[in-house]
Amino acid sequence: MSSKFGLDDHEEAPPVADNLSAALSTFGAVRPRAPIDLPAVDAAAEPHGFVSREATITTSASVGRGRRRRAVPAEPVRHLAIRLPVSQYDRFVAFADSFKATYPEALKKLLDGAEAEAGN
Amino acid sequence: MPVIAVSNPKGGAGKSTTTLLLATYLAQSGASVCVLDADPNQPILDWKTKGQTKSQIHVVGGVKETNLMELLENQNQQFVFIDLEGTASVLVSRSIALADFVIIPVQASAVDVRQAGKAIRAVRDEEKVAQRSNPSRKIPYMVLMTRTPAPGAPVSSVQRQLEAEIEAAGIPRFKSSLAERLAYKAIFVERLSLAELGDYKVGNLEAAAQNIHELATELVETLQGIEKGSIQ
Repeated sequence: MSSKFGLDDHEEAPPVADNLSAALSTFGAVRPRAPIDLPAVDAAAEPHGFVSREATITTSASVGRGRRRRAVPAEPVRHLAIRLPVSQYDRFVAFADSFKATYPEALKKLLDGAEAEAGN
Repeated sequence: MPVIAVSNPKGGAGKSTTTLLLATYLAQSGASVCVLDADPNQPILDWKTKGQTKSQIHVVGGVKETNLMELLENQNQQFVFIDLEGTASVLVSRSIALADFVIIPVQASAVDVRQAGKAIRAVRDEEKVAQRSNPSRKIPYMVLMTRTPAPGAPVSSVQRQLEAEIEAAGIPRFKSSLAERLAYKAIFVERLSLAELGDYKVGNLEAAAQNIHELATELVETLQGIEKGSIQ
């Protein structure tokens, strides 16, 4: 029933839910995607920080080998938390494992090596 | 027709909530809908498999960089949503590259909007890559403000500033926003769709349903505009 002064026109318009259902019926099934150039897609996103987060196969050197317990340091310590791409993480852990070194020891070894190389 | 990626590299922006609310609402309105749950926590797969929902949405988990294209090719629903992880990853950028439309949910916080900027720049660059092989290829996107105050509640000055900045930058944005509502949290707690929450006393369900109806309607109108070429 319309209102006395014609201000309430709710009944004139079709129910909104029906409009939505009708609109939905116009959509067909998802079409197959055109092939994309994955290397180009990945390269375009990398500068914005979009890199692979999926685990890579770990090297045998990083699996199943013990690392000795850390020694009590002789000087004050600072905490360092870093995030690495999985590939670099795996390399670092494999490096530490290969020397049965703790991470701080492995980092020191790498720094010592780099400094020695730079000095030569 | 559309594959819709829901992306913001910032976690907690409301991607899964937006995806689930829209997917279940479109399904209850008569559409066939699939959700590719590409979030490592699998919140929507968990919702579907561990709950009692009767929603007809089809949920696929285990989405990876390597099987994304294959999973997409296997879907024949009208709408496919990809609920993406809250990080910048190759899976996210490939999903954007394959999408017909990208929804970028953002909370009214500077961190969210700055992270959303990453997604926007990625969309634009992926579009340029796609145009090398198909000059007419577009990847339209829109920002969706999430966890906003319910209608009538005071809007923070931060939100007003962000909205003004988004508009000044010419970034397309949904007129509707997703309000902060108890019901939107309850759908994950009870593992039910919004329409199935009727017996639970969780906030203002009617207002929540109205909010989703408006958002879903705007989404469908936008997708129709894209299909007709009137929105790019």
